[in-house]
Amino acid sequence: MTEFAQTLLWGAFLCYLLSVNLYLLHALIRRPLLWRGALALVGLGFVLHSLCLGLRWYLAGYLPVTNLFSTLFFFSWALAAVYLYFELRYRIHASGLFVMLLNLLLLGAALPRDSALKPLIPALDTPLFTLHIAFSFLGYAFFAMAFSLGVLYLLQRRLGTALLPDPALLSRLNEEAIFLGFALFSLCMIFGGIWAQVAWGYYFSWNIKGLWSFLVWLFYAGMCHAKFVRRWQGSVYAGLSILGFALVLFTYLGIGLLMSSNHPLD
Amino acid sequence: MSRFRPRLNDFWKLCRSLKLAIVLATLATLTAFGGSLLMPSRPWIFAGMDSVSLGEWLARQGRQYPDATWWIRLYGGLLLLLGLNTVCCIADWLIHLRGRWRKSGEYLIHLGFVLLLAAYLWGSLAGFRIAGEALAVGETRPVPRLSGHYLRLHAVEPVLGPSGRPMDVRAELSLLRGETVVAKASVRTNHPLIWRGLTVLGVSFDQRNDGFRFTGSLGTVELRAGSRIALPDGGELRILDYRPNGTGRRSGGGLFEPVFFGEIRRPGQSPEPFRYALREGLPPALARIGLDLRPLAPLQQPVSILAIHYDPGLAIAFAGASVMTLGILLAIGSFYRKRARGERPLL
Repeated sequence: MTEFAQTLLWGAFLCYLLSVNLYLLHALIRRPLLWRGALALVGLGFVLHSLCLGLRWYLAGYLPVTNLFSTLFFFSWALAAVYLYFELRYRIHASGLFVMLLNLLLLGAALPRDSALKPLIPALDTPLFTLHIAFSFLGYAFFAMAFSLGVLYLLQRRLGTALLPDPALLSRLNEEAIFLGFALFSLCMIFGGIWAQVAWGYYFSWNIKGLWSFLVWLFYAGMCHAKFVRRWQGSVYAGLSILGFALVLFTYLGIGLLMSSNHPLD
Repeated sequence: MSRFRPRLNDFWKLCRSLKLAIVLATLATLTAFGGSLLMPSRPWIFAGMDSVSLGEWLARQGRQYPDATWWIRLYGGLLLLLGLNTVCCIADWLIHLRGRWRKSGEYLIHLGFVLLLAAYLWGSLAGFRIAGEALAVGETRPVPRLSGHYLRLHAVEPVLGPSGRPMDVRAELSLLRGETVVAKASVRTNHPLIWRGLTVLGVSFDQRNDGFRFTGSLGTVELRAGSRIALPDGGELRILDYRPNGTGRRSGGGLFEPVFFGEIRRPGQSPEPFRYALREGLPPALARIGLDLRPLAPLQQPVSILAIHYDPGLAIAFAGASVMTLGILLAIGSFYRKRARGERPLL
């Protein structure tokens, strides 16, 4: 990777790191200036992150999301985008601490890994691959956001602090994150299925990654229905969001790193 | 009749019940979750699942290893019940369409799911997958298990990367139904030949020995099955068959023991058959007429290695995917429209 792209990457990481610190400070001393600063830093970090992604895309000639570094990098970018969407739309302020901490962990885990851009193998050289991974990680990012909102909901129910939004709003945002994540992940599955058909001659693979991806889809499809069950609204729904993200993490990292699958991460 | 109506209503309510959908989805998830943990530790059972259709795999591996594969039948059964439950939901939505048309996006997603499930079931039961079909350039061969259909290979060549390394294989293929060409494609990675439910993929390429080049009294000639060479006395040398690994009468077969089977035809005479095993030397029938045929080099024919998959539900699956995509777009649009109007949309 060029030195400039590396500089952009570190710049984004530093912005996210500072924003987490400002959010933390805001949680302690509650000054509006602090969360405004934190949000500005997230915005700046996201711009640098996007420039880095665009530069890597240009240099590689394809959307570089093919190994552990690049998937963590893209996941982090998608999560920052999703957070900005919720923050700018609903002004969730201090809720950003938890999401951006998660984002920092993702990007921090990517930094020490090999960032070299490698030639694309013919099987991945198709727009279907780009659509499949882009929708996949955008879906994952919404699920990560739902996880964060679920945790915050449970915290808010226990603490009742003025720092966090009202539990009803958190629950509503959680539902929205699950719905949008499910919609995007469905598109990921559809484009992945079409790609599998043209690449391997079948649209569903009994490879463990394919099976677990369908389980993730089924789980979140169930969640889209579960919110209509009155007794499951609120805490149960928040708990399910947390459980769902555990499924996502296992499908993404657990299977990719620990098992032999048709979606290897390295 | 009126006595049964409440029970029928209750049954219908159960069939279209949202809670039933959640219970079935949860059970299916848990079943596959538990069962899939067996997969990495038993590769000899599960590794080849994608190489055949699910129906064939269950008939073979499912019977042989019932203890490790029972969960797949249970998982399939639960998904089937979930599909039926979804069909009932769609029917209920259609009955009340006037009041619920705003939820069209969500119900199109349901319909897409049902179509995909039905397509997969059909493909698993009536489809097949064949790997490693070798087809030589110029050869026309019947598609296995699909009577009346033939594949013809026109050309095959490796696609080289910038450093000269082979990256891919391109095969020019035609699909014929009877004598009629119904599909043509330049098959390579991510570009299969797809016609109705049939998908033909190029997997690799190879070379096959299909004859020999000779020198001698006739000059340099190439002989392979079907070759005809005019003889100086007005007769004709015909090659009827060529076997590179000599399954002829005397050699008994072996590794590269090429044998030609042919006949010498002369006007007004009955054909004289001959068998020319190259390791054994010129047969008496050829020596008698003064023919000298000394082998120079084997003739190699490029061969494409193909995978042939047939899934009769493929068109339905594509329809399901399209309907689901449309449903997702409508549901997202409907969500933001309601949000813009200040409603709290029930997602």
